[in-house]
Amino acid sequence: MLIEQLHYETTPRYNFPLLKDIDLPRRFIELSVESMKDVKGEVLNVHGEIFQDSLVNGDYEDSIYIGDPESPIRVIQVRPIRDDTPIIAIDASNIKIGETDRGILCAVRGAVIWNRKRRYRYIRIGPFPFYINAENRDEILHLLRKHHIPASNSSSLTEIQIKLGSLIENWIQINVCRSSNRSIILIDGSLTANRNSDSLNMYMQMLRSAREKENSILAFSKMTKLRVLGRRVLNLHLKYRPPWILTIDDFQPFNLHLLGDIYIAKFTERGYSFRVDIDHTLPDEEKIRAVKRLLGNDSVFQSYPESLRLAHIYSTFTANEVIGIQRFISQQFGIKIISQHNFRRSLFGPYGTEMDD
Amino acid sequence: MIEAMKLYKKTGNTIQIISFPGEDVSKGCYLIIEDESSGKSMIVQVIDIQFANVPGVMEELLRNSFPEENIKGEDVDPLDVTSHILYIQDARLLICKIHGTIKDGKIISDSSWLPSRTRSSIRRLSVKSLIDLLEINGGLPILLGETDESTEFSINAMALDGKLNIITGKKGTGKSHLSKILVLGLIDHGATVIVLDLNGEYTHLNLTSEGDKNRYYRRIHVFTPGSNFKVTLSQTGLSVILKILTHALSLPGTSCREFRRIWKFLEERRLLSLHELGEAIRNWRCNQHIKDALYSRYYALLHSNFFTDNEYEAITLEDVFSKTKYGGAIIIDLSNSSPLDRQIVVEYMLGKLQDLLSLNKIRPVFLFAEEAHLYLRDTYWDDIVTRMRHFGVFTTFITNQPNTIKENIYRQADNVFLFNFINEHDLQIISKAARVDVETVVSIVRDLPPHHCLILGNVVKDFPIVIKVRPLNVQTGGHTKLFFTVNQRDYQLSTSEAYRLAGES
Ligand SMILES: Nc1ncnc2c1ncn2[C@@H]1O[C@H](COP(=O)(O)OP(=O)(O)OP(=O)(O)O)[C@@H](O)[C@H]1O
Ligand SMILES: [Mg+2]
Repeated sequence: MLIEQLHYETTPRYNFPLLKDIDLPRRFIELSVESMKDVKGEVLNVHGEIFQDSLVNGDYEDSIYIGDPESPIRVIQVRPIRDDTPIIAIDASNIKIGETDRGILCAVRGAVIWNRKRRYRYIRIGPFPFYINAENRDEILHLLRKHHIPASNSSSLTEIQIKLGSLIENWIQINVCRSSNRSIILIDGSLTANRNSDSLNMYMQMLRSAREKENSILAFSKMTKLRVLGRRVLNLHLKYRPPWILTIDDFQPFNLHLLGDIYIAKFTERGYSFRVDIDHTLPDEEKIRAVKRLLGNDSVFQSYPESLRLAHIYSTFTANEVIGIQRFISQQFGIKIISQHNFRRSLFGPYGTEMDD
Repeated sequence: MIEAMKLYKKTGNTIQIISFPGEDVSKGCYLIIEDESSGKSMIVQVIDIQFANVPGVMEELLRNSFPEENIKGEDVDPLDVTSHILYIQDARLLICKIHGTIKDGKIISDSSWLPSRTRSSIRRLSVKSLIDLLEINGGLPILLGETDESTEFSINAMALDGKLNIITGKKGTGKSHLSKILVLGLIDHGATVIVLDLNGEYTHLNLTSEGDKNRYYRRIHVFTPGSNFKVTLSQTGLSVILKILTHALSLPGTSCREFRRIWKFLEERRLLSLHELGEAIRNWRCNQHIKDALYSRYYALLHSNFFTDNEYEAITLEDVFSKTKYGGAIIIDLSNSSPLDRQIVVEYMLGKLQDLLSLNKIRPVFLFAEEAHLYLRDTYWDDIVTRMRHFGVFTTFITNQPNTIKENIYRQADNVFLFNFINEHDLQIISKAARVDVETVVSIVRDLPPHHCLILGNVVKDFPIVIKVRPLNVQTGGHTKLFFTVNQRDYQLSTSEAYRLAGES
């Protein structure tokens, strides 16, 4: 019966050109609801879960080192171009809500921040709760692969949770790329895929859509383990005054397909340097120009674009949201919740007797 | 449907309860925690309402407050999870004080047991049910006003009998108004009330606000010292005169002894009068210093206009009291008296009262004293709570400066009627009252709207109750004196006229 209620209305929107086309994969929502029905009558253990951060897809993290002294290094100083280019940032997060004897309950949510002339607007998509267990994992894996999220049959439940986050994220990315024009699109992560993998397809599709609409995609890695000259990228300081970007020519790592050129960027004196991947097929001047336009049209805080920071903040779950989701589940699907945390026990009622005096 | 309130925590006699949006609770209201398994119920009072410390709300608020502008946006939330999140964010924590336990339909003062979290249900306890449980309104009711559920609220006049009361609150909140309700309520039940009326605001209690006679018309007796209230020296008696000289006029001991001799001298010759007193001092053979001292006091008495040699002009307190045999108020209008004259009159009143009471010549009285620090000498405060109470003077102090009431009065007060206070220092002082729970007072009194009052003590059997004091259809008058008062003349006319009419009864 819940499926029927899913025809959510298209309420008046804040002039997001990109939202007209937002239409979640029906199967995704159905799976969410169906999996939740599965949880009925179970006992959900929730203690300790809510303080955990969103899990990150770390698939390609370790593999890239730049540091061959022979490689020619170029540092390009970038001057901001202020031309009112819209900046659009996308992020998604996932969180574990609790676990039962049979599986884990998690939730995923995506966020888009749209910065036009430095006025920020957001749209949040979700949260979508999922109950992942042995019975439905194959079906979820199938859904993931169908949307080009690489998922092996041996994936753990936690890996599946992360991939559900990637699914909604990638799917929002593609939608945004298709529906925006001449914008800078910021995504969290890299443009790197395993050769011959599903994700390669997915990235190619996204970049193609972006190019068709003259959008430029910049992918920012926050937690990169990329090393340049033997040092972590995050701590790289050069004698040049920011903003600058650094690139290493002729770099092609083993067994990875780079859909983007890798740059190291440092936009402000304070803060870290980041890895930025820019669509490989763009002419070099275009790549640099995209960075310049980003700097000219978005705020930068501690060397990180504000839009992307907001997208991260808006998608991340706070502790009270987790409690709210637990309440939603307990009310809508009649699950019992057990917690060692008094507050939540009080919220969800009669599963404990002792009181602390 | 609103989700039921839930027990969260108990520390000492404080209980914390979680309530959800839509629950109609406010500071001061009572809740009952019914624990079926133990057959007991706990009565608690909400003294503070806070946001429940839902984890992560801080991040939530920070997320939604960016300096540049409020970021607008929307949620695509087909499952409507967001409404649940908002519901959680709006959960409230009710800080409650335990006031007692109901067992077998009786209230006992046990706060040590723990209601079960799982098997108790929490609901609002209407003040009406509480009143019924406590049997507060039986006996001789005085209607004070209504509770926030619009049920009438009365106290039992018997709960004021023999008691010491304080009415306090910041300026203009309705203290004198409540005091008038108490005065009229007491005389309704046949009591004698004396009001030391500093501002002359009780003088028209016998008239409606339209100026017509009301049912108290013959029961309110206004006495204005120096005008319709004068006494002779012989009625006053040596002991009371000596009190006036020592306390109001600070006559030193040696001079007092000399005065006593003069008094005896005149008394023996049946020559006790103001005139003869003056002559006697002039001709008395004594130290010049003493003579000067006596003279200056003599003139103070003379100029007070309170004393007279004319027996027809004078009245006795016994006469005054006889008018209140079936209940009545004696209003001593001090509004036109100088500070010195006020002290003389108050010394007289209290001295005489003690005399009459100790001789069993009058019944016990209820004394209402407005801003008593302006005329009550230091040593009387202790007297009032000890000796005078024993004789039958039951005092109510009314003030907007709580620090002017001596600390031991607070400690001994049986009933405290509190109006709004915001000043931290004032709240501190009130908290010294024995009947007062500091946290309750500090938290509730600060938010009281005008004309609302928190009642503590005997009259509410120590269950603090907030009421809205009822209006009163009497002429108030007597407010801050203005220089340009158009109807000054009318006002004075009606006072004397009122007295004349009352005197004829
Ligand atoms: N319960 C009430 N209903 C209607 N009017 C009221 C009520 N209480 C007080 N008032 C009115 O409010 C005004 C102030 O009340 P009142 O004189 O009793 O205040 P107060 O606290 O004694 O002030 P002060 O500190 O100046 O002595 C008066 O005009 C009075 O008639
Ligand atoms: Mg007053």
